[in-house]
Amino acid sequence: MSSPLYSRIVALALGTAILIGTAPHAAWSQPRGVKPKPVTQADIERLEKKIADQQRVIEKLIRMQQQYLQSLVALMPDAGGGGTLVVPPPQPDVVARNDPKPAGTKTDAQIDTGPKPNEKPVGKPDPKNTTAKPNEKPPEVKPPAPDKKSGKGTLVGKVKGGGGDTYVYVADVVAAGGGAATMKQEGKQFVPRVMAVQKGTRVEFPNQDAVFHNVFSVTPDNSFDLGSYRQGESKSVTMSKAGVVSVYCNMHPQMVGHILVVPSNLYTRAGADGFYRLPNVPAGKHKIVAWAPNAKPTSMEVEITADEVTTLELDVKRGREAPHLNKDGMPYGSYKD
Amino acid sequence: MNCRKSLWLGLGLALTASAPVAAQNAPEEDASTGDTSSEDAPAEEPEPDPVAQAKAMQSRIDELEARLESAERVRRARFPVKITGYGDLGFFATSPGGDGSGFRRDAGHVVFPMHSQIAWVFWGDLLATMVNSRGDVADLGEAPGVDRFDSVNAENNPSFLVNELSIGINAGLGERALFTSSVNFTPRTGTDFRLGDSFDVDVAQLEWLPFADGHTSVFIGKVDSVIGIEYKTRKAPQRFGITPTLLARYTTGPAVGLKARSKFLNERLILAASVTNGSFGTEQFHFHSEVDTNAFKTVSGRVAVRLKIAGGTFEAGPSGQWGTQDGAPDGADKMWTAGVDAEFETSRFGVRAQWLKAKAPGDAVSQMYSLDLKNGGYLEANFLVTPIIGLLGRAEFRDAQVQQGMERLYITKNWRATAGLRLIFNPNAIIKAEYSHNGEYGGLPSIPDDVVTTSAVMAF
Repeated sequence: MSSPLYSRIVALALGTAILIGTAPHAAWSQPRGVKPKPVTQADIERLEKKIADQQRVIEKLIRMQQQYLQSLVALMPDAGGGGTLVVPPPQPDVVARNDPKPAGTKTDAQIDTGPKPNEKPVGKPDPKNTTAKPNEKPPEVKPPAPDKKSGKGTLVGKVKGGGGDTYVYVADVVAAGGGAATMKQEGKQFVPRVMAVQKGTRVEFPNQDAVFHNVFSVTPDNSFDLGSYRQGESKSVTMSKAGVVSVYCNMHPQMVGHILVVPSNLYTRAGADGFYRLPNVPAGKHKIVAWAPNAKPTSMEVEITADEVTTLELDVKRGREAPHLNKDGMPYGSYKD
Repeated sequence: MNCRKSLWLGLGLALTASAPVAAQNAPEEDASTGDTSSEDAPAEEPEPDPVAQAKAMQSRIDELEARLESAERVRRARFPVKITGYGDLGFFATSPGGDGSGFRRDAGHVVFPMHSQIAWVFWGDLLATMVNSRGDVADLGEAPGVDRFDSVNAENNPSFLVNELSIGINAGLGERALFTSSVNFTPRTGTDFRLGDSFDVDVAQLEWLPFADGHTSVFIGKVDSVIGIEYKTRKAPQRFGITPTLLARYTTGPAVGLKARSKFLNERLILAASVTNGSFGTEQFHFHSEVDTNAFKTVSGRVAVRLKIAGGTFEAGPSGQWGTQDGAPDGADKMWTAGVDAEFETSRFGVRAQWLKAKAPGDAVSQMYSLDLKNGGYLEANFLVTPIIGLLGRAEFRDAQVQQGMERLYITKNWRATAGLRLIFNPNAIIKAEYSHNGEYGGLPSIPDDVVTTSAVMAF
């Protein structure tokens, strides 16, 4: 046995020993009584190639993760993102954005054009408006079907099990937010109790009760505490991250609100019968999500065809409203009602 | 390929397979440009499936978010502690021509000749001239034959008063348990070598919510009352006005023991019950006691319906308690309280009412007072004119006799009308003013014992 080959075998044995020590399940799953085959040059090369492949995959994942984290940092107000930047998500199959205005922080005067909670979306994503930051890799934009004019289709269907307050939205289309929405405090309740807004929307919380309220949320990345304020006063929060934001009052535990923050204005509220209609969805394959309060979102992928109507049925399973803690992380107790 | 390269290869293989996190943290150069790659390997490898990568990334992000949420839940469950408290300062004055007290002695049994066999007979109400939310009176008067601690003792002089300083410590013990406590400090002037200042552990209770819906609570410790509704707003920052009602002495005191409260039928039905050492009273005739002097305990309960009507919440129900009188020995007759209460509340307007009867047999051997609360009731309404300005009106009466053997008898047929003003600048700064007119009925001579009192409450 030549010296280099011997060295390789020793190295491989060392690596195998470490593997056995660190991955016992893999080691024990080997059939007993099978003699190991002699190591050949081809085996070594195959292993080297496998390592190189894995390293490339890891590098790519790290890059994507870094890009995603940078995007999140850019969204933070301190970083100058103002919460309304167009951010390419890590998914490479972004198809469209809906940002007719330049990215950046908007003044209050500019913000008042977002879809109202009870309105149908007016999404008009335009692939031509796709913009990217200078250092970012441009997202892949699927061209519209050559034989179609609009490049958009309509999604219709029914959500089963959602009851009222069920929303359907396109999860993989990201568009700059903005606009404003209102969730009142009225009769010691949030009105509306459930609403959906586009990411970057400023949500106002006016107090219309004669008593004080203290609106807060402990939802990660969207947590806030507006403090106590009286009738006629209003405070606001910009919803900077997509997801479900649970809103409470620190004084009245029966006050529970849910805000679904969606990545674009491609969302709609299903009717009481569960039927929904979502127009202006860019053609292509999309992830469609149905959500209702106290339910885990349900998602399905669907191929939207330009200028055609696509049907999709979704199921959601609603749970009961669970008790929540106050802003100090304590139970409210029996008498805070 | 030499021996050293092979060694690195083996190590790299092991580390890559077993510790991907470490591999991710490795410098990019090591991962991409190391000379471990084969020279025969093709220059351009086929790109991994981007959709699969995106899915893997999304899965990773979902996992991280779930871990973050879990960590946040754990963090919140780690016994958060909150210190609360308030200071209540006031200024009060009583009717000119009076002595600051709410009762008079029937000297010579002129008013009540039918009670001439009793040594001392009084009429009026010792607690008529309340000046603060504690129920302290402006003056206890000069009652012969007893040595009482007259904590305010202002006689008939207007006076400033630090009504109460209170410190509370609340601790969340996980998501299903809560410890609540408060200690009241009452700075007072000492007399006869007595310090005067006092402190009292007002509430010290552990509340456990055994079910996930949070509709049931089990309390242990020095717990709040289950009788009526006034106990829920008995403290200065919670009370719309300043002074307690004439019935508060029987219903608002905390007691030591066990208590359970549960809401059923979507919170339309509320049941509460307790077993305590004594009754839920505060009156200094001591129909209550923290540490029992007899083996028989006091059981209490309340049943109420709660409905959403006319833009507000309506709650009504009966409540009562029964047990051996505090301070009396075992085998003594039982003391009981029974009543009914109702409340309707919107965010701007509130009205509440309560009617109550009570009896305590007293004990001649241990010189315990007997009580015959023939009737007592109140009707109170409050209204927010603006979010800052609130008005209060209350009408009430109390018809009772308190007797100690053949030595002392207090006869009360008292009515009271109260008007109040509240300015609430924020939940932490409240100013209140109140005027109470006390009157006698049923042929009892009138006593000049009206009260004007104010209160500035600063809470945190």
